[in-house]
Amino acid sequence: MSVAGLATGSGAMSADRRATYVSVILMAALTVLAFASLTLGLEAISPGTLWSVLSGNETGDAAHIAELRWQRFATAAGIGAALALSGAILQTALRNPLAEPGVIGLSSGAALAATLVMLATTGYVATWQISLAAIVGSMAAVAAVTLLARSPNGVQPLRLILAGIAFSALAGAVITAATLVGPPHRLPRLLVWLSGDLNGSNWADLRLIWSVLLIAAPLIIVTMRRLDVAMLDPISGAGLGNRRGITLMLSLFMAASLAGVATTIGGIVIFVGLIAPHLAHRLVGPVNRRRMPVAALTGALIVAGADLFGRLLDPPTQLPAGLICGVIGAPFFFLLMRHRNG
Amino acid sequence: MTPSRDIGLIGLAVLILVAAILASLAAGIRFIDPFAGILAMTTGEATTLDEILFQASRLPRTVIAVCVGGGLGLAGALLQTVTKNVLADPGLLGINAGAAFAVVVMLAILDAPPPLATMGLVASAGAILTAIMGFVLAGGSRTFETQPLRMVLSGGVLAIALGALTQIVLILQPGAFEASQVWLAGSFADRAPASVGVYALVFVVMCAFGIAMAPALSVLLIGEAQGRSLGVNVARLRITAVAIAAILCGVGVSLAGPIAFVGLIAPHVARAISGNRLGRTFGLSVLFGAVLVLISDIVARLVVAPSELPVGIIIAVAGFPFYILLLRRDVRL
Repeated sequence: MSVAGLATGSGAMSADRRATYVSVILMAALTVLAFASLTLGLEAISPGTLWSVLSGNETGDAAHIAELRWQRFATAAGIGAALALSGAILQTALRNPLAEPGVIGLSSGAALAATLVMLATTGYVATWQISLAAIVGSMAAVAAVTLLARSPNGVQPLRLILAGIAFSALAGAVITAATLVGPPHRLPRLLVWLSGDLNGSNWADLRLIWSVLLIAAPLIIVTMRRLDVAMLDPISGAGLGNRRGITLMLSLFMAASLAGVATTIGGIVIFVGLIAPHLAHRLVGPVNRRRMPVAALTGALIVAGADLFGRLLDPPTQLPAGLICGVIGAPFFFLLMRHRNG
Repeated sequence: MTPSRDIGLIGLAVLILVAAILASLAAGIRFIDPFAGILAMTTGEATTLDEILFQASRLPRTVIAVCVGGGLGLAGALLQTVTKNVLADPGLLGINAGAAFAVVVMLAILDAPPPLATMGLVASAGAILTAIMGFVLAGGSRTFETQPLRMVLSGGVLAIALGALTQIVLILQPGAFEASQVWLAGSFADRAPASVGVYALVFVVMCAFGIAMAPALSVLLIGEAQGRSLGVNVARLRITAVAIAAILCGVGVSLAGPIAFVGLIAPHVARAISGNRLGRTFGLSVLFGAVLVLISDIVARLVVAPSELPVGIIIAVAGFPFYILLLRRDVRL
């Protein structure tokens, strides 16, 4: 269809259509994954039982298990979508194809801030309060890494990544130190959270991540249209009346918020913000209007899939989705690095 | 630089090392007179609390700090020379992560903890494999020469992936989990004194080999073609140097866990003092690596006493600004 579209000169039209098709296919895949996530596990739920649960006829153990699994699946999908969007925004705004919340240190900054808040406060701290701290930490990280990598000729892409990796190492070291000297009664919750396990996902997590996504979506649509123009090249952007500074700030704020909240709920999940946008680029091209939704769906598939895999690999042991993404993401990163070089 | 000034500087460096060693023997929750401790060792059995503490804890710990720091310092200097890359550091290139991963896999497979020699060997093998993988993935030629930034990038990503794999193994085999949490952050606490001697021996031998390679490697610095025309087998030279670096890292990791930044900082300080004469750079890298780790270990012991922090954390905090400085100043893009 895209070939036909090009031939008849209606390229844009056809690309939109292609993006729609791709999105529909990805949503179908996500539905299949949701079905698998609800039925598979230590306690298998048959499709028939699942149907009676969904239609409200079954209220026993199966219903309870299905509810827990749904919370977990939807939370994982939300985290994946948020990280994918964060990565796509960073890549556009920083003009750096390898930028990603995990690699350049946003997730580590978020985790560090959240750790400090958890250890420094007395009494109960709600998830949304930790999220706020994580967003601040995430923003501080992106500001610090960008400033450290800045040179008279602008922010050099590889230098940004290297500063980010080193910043992550530093933040990781401080987090480890904090867990070793922090008040012991705070540690259990902190350690569970740091491992990035989605095992305890609940409705509050699910609501938090999806409300952030819903708030961010319209903002992203508006900002990305401006970014597509502004990043074309700064001078023409300005000529078209685009205030690049504000657009850039807004973009980084959104990237930090999405990564911060995702990290608060799922721990540090690395590479997803890299893989999903690049797959989306392959599928529907570089224009953000089409790339963003496809990237979000791909990210949701990756994290929810990784979580399901980690749950099924060696039950009852559960492997955090973040670790699985860390392993499968590295080869992808190398492919991308080589591809860009070649 | 005049010869007499050279000797003065090297003498000063040795003095600093001796002072750091004495401080490391003395400092802790309980101050121990290091001279009295050494004296007691020569006269026989330990009797007082101070003497027992000295022989069972302070002395092995100090020896480990010297071995690990000196080894990582020299490993960094070797890697930086071979790859012509100022950012080459065993931690940043993922080599330490590879050694740690190999050790954790072995611990997960075996029921009982293996003999320490085996552990060191496995760690070294993991280090060598990761080093080679890093060079290949960075698109390096067979002669281990790559573009500096790309190699650090591929090393960083390798370190992330190997770290995640290590965690996965630890979760699947919970037996090894608790002990290795502190070890993976890099720590000298609770190392069996008996094992230290073996490692110290390997360290000394490998350092001697590494420093002895300096004249041959300095031919490489002039240029590969010149080296070949002088009859140097360039590929073999490079591989030997990387292997020595990897063995030093393997020893360091099996003693103290993956510690980053030492192999970055020590050679740079050494180079600033020695100019580009490799033999001196290598020797001073050993000295400064040892001093850096000794001081960091003293800080790690005292900063949250009576508890203590893994030394790797102190070095990471101290090393980060240094790394950024090098990244901004010395790396051509």
